[in-house]
Amino acid sequence: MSVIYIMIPLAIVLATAALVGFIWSVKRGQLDDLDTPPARVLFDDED
Amino acid sequence: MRSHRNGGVPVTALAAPEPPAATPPVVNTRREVACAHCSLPVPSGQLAPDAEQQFCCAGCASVYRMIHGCGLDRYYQLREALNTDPLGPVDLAPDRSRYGVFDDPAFLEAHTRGLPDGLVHADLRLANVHCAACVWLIERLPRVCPGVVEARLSLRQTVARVTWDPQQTPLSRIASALHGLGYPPYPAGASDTRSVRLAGERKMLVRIGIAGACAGNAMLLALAMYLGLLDRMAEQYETFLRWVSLLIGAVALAGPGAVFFRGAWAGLRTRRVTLDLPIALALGVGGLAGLLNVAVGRGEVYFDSLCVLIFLLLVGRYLQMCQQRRMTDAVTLMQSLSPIRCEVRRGGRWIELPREALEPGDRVRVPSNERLPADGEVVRGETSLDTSSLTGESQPARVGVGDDVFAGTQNVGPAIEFTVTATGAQTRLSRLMEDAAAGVAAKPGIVAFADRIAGYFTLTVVALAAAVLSGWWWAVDLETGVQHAVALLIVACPCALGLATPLTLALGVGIAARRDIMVKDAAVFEKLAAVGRDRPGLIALDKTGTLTNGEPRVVGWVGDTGIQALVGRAERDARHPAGRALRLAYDPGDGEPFAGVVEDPRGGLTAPTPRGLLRAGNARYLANAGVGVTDIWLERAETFIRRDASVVWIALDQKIVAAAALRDAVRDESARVVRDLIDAGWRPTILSGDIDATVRRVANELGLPPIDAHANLTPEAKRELVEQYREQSGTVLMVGDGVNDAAALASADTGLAVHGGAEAAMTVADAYTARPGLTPVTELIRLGRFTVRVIRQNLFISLSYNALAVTLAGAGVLSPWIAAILMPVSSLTVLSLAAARLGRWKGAEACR
Repeated sequence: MSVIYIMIPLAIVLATAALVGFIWSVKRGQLDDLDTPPARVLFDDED
Repeated sequence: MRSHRNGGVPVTALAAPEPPAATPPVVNTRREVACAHCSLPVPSGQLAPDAEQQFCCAGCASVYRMIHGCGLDRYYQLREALNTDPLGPVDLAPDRSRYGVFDDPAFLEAHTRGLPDGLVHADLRLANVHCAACVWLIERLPRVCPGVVEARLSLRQTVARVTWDPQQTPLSRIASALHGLGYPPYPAGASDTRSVRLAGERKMLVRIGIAGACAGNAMLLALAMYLGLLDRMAEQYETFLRWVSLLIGAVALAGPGAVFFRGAWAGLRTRRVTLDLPIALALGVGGLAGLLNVAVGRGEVYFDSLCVLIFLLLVGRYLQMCQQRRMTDAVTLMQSLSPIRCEVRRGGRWIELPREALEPGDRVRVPSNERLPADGEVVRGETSLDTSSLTGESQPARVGVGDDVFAGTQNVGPAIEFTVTATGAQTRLSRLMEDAAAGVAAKPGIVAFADRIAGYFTLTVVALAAAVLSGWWWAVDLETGVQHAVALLIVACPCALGLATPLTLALGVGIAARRDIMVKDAAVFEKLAAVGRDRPGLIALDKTGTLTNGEPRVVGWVGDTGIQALVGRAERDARHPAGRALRLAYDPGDGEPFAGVVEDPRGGLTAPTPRGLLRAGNARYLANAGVGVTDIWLERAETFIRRDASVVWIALDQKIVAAAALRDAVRDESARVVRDLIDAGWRPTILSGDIDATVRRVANELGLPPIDAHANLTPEAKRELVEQYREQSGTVLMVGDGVNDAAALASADTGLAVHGGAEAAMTVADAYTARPGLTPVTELIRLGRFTVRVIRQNLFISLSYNALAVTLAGAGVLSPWIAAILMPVSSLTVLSLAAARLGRWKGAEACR
């Protein structure tokens, strides 16, 4: 059972990393416009 | 862009620079040849027998050539693959194709921003943006216009951010390229307000992210503890889990949860109780008790429930905010009243300058059908100005040398010149808008229903907690009393209510949007629901464009009916409102327009027809052309004149043969809607800037008493009347469209701007209907009542859950895991009920 002393902090570190990634993407403006990017991915097969 | 993605908001309709009614598409029923660009049927007159592609108009043809010439034909394949709605007519009036002023330093200063690497970017609002294929086409701008580094379009706002190298290309060339692709650009305006707004949205998302991560992790730990409880977990592990969940709970409470503490505190300071207070109470007490219990190693911790609470409440608020922002966006797509460019005399010659470069003392020329860029005094020429957006008068006002003229009015006559006396923020138009904005700021917000009950709710919960505390203290001991009271305070948190209310409102806003009503502030629903048969309210209606069509229609004809078709055909391309009315009344069909038609913007037209020279116009025009109106004809048309209609005389070969009566007629449905409103407890009142006789006639037709018809009102007087009514009769709903209504719209409890309204009216109104007429008004009232009814049902259900939980807590049998199950279940019940009820709303229910 003592494995939880490692596993839980590790899980929290992982969750924090994901959260930091989310906050980073919000601050970069990646979630500002949710209408256009879904349309944009349709066109990426050229250029 | 009426796609499935944007919730049905008809953005294209709003983005079109001119109302489609002005240029009804000519539909050919005999031979359906689709235009290669816009897919509309090509009229027979435009068919080119040998050409590979057929076009409905020159605009479509030029756009097609541009797209084809740049090798961007994929646009058409994409459009077909995406299966979007037809594009509709492309508005490419030639006088909009000059973008020279976009390079003026004053314009660049106002609308562009330099980037550190020498590049410049600007936000341009584009007309005609339609669908995903438009995104593809616009973002290929670097291929069309060398020097452009990047173009990014936001479909929702139809704003493109264009980044370019000013050394390689001027902005005017970029603007012309966009115009050539079929998207006439306009400066998008205040980027500051948009970035402030964006920052707010991002902050909210970050909060939700943190709260969600905390909630998920806290729940996992709680699950371990509940399972450990049954399984006899070793004490050191449980202590460890409790400390970790304390850590997570502290992050959630101090970070995203702080919103509720701040809200409750702000409310208390202004002596108002909001729903934030009971939420903050539960969070605060739960957090403190949890901290103590972890520290002493005894008793329950509720961090999982607290985290989920914060997360769900924030999500509810975020969704409501998104829905309202969407509506605000849809409304800001409206065209500005002020023109981008104007003709100014500088250094002895006429040059084009952007509006921003105007200074008092400048001499400006305003051609026919343009809007005035500034306030001033006429120095040359004589014309008629359409001042309806500023004053509400339906008849154009005649102005001559020495008269004052105002920005935002439209020149419907020949060109005039005037000396600028006030520009920008100093114009009457801007002052009216400022006035209106001040009214919005000063408007006392209604106490939302949920907030109104929050006070009683808090008192009851605190009283119950005190009773439980003292009861258990007396029966067992203080510690047990405290534990049970804390449990009660947490489970009594109005989570279901705090979550379901904003979501129900957001659903209501969405339903309204599907009916082309943009609700910018969901409080509108509650305000409208406050009026009923026993609680009367007042609905103030602007006359022009609301009760009436807003433009003249043919209401009578005397004389030779055989020439009606001739008149319709002669007026086929007429720009004067009277000409439009005649064309609509006497459909010219597919017939070719007559060659050599001469239109005089002062109110007349001459056309050579197979039956002779046809003249149509007012008495003055005909007199100038040498045609006198004889007494016999004056007599025949007398009833028209008496009934407040203006007369268009028709002459064939210099002899009057007929007369048509034109009037801004009352809309067909207005009378019925007015009756419905009275039935629902509203008292309709007309507030108009128009002349007495016209207003009285409209009131008479609608069956309203003269006391409820106010004429000759200035914008300021309208506002004063609305304020007066608010003091006398409670709720006031103002319905209007013009700048002259803006101040009144802002001071009314609810301001509703109607179809075709001016920008100022849209900005200050709480809601906007994109459909003409008054039917949307009654629909909105009905929807408001329905939404509020659903909210009340939610309240009842969530209070039942709370009562159950409070009883369990008071009896001391509520363990944290029961609380953890009860809370989301109650929220889910309320949410699904709200969604199901509102989803079924068809608008068929009675107004009352």
